[in-house]
Amino acid sequence: MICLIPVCQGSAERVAMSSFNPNADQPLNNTPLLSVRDLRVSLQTAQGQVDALRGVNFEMQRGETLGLIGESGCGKSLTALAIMGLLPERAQVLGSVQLNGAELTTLSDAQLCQMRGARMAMIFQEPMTALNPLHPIWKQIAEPLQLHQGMSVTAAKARALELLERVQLPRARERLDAYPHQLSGGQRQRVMISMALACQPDILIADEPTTALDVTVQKEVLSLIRQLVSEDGMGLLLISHDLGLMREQVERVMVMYGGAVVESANTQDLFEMRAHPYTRGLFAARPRLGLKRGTRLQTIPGHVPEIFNWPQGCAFAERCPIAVPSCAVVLPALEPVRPTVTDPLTAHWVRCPIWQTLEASA
Amino acid sequence: MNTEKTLLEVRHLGQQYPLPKSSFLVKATHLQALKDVSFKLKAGKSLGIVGESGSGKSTLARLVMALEKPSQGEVIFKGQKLHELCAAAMREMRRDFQMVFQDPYGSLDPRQKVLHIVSEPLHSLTHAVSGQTLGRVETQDRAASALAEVGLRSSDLDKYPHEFSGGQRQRIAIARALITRPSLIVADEPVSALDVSVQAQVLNLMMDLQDRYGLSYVFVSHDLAVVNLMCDDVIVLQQGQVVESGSSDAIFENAQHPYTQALLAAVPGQR
Repeated sequence: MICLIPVCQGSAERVAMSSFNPNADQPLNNTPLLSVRDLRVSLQTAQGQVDALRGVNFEMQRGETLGLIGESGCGKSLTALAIMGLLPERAQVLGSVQLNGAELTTLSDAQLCQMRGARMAMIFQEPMTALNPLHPIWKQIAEPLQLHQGMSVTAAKARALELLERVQLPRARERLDAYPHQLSGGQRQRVMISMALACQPDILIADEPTTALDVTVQKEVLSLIRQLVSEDGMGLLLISHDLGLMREQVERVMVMYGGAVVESANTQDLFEMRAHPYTRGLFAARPRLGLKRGTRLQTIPGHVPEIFNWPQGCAFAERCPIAVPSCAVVLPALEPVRPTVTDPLTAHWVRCPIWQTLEASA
Repeated sequence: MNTEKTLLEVRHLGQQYPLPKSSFLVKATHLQALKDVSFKLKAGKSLGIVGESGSGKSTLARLVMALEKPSQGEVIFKGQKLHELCAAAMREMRRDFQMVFQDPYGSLDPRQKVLHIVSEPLHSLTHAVSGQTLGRVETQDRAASALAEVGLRSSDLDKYPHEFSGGQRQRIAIARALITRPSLIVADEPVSALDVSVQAQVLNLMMDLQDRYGLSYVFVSHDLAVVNLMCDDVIVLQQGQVVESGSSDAIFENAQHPYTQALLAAVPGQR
């Protein structure tokens, strides 16, 4: 019914595709759905070449939900764009990104186009700018179906209606011909989700999908994403700056700062114990309901450093309460918080050699 | 309690905007953006205005700032009806209430130096009224001390907005609001564009300034946790109407209206 192998449209592409089979005889149960190994991205800026991602590693299994937290400029979105192959042209990518065992970083643009939309899809933050204002929404949902699955216009339009009903857009049938400006923010985000899910991708990347929405709508949209992801057994990579939101939405969280993952743990473990000084600062700085009026929040001194000012070592060093001079020189390795638990998928990892001093002083 | 002076009072405030007509033959229809809103704010206290987009939060802020004329009702600031003042008296009065906007990137003129941005209210409000002009040295001193209040250096006066981070820009916007020594600052989502760690710095700063100068805030926000922290009283707006109002403690601990309860339940990660 649904074709998992992208359908080639032209014969030239068919030749190019012969050496590339995303479902290459890999036993699906062993290979992780998505595997990111030592992903490094450097960007060309006015200040010269800068390393924007400094070795990101993670794996995701089918049906897993993974969160990526961090402040602006820490590399969250860049990680997503690198996986999707949507980086600016002059960006240099090192390392490996494998989807079902097939390497993505070496694919040609045409091959990547076959993967995007069909096998991996992305939901962006601002649904108004991500949708085309000049086309009715059914056309935009039908586009990936026609492109990747070779559906006819009528079939694709019928499927678009099914998809809109699945994302619970009220009065979906009447709204097929609506233009994006006729919908509210939450409704537009539902349309975005239906587009992303149209070809039943293996992985869904949601980059701040609800930041532009009101809290009550945000809650609805997030629970919709979670429900659809578990129904289809997709992998979900949720990117957000909102810690509270992560707690309810994902099983495992990675905290990023300065282009590197500084801490990763199962959500429950992270909320029980924060090891990295940055994660601790981030949690403490958050206003919470129930704080007494006028309570001063704990702050992290200074501000996020500009990308071209990152030190060789830990980017958090200059704001860190426990930093020692060597911190700014060498980027520390990830180490397990509990030395007995070192399974890369479930252990609690922290990129700070002296995090225990903070634990002792607390 | 009753001895504290009421700084700002809003009585039965309403605002409607005309909607586009489909033909010149039909009667114009109006959108009631705000309907029968009343509240009082005492000197030195903060009032939070909470609601979702389209609830009339920003319309209310603009009316309090006298940036628009209301269709119904009145705004009384320091015992005077704001929208009945003549232009000269209005300028005089404007010194006393200032605004901080949401977007620290859009609210500072990129072509002006910080000195000009911060000292502009001094020139356009204070001295246009009294007819005096302020000397360069005095302007510089006032601007430098306003910057010092918000934790920036006087050497920052010669820089342009693009040289600052989002949090620093919001500090500049607060310095600009402070320079005329106002008694009321209307802040429309002042921290929602900032990162968590920077947001905490700016909120602490605003609380410190309130303690130091007895400022009052009208604090517009969709973030209930921030309002809970900053405000003594809260009004909850839904579709232009006040659905619940009261002290911050009462509302956040024991919300009565279903809409307020829904807003509180939707705040992620508070359980």
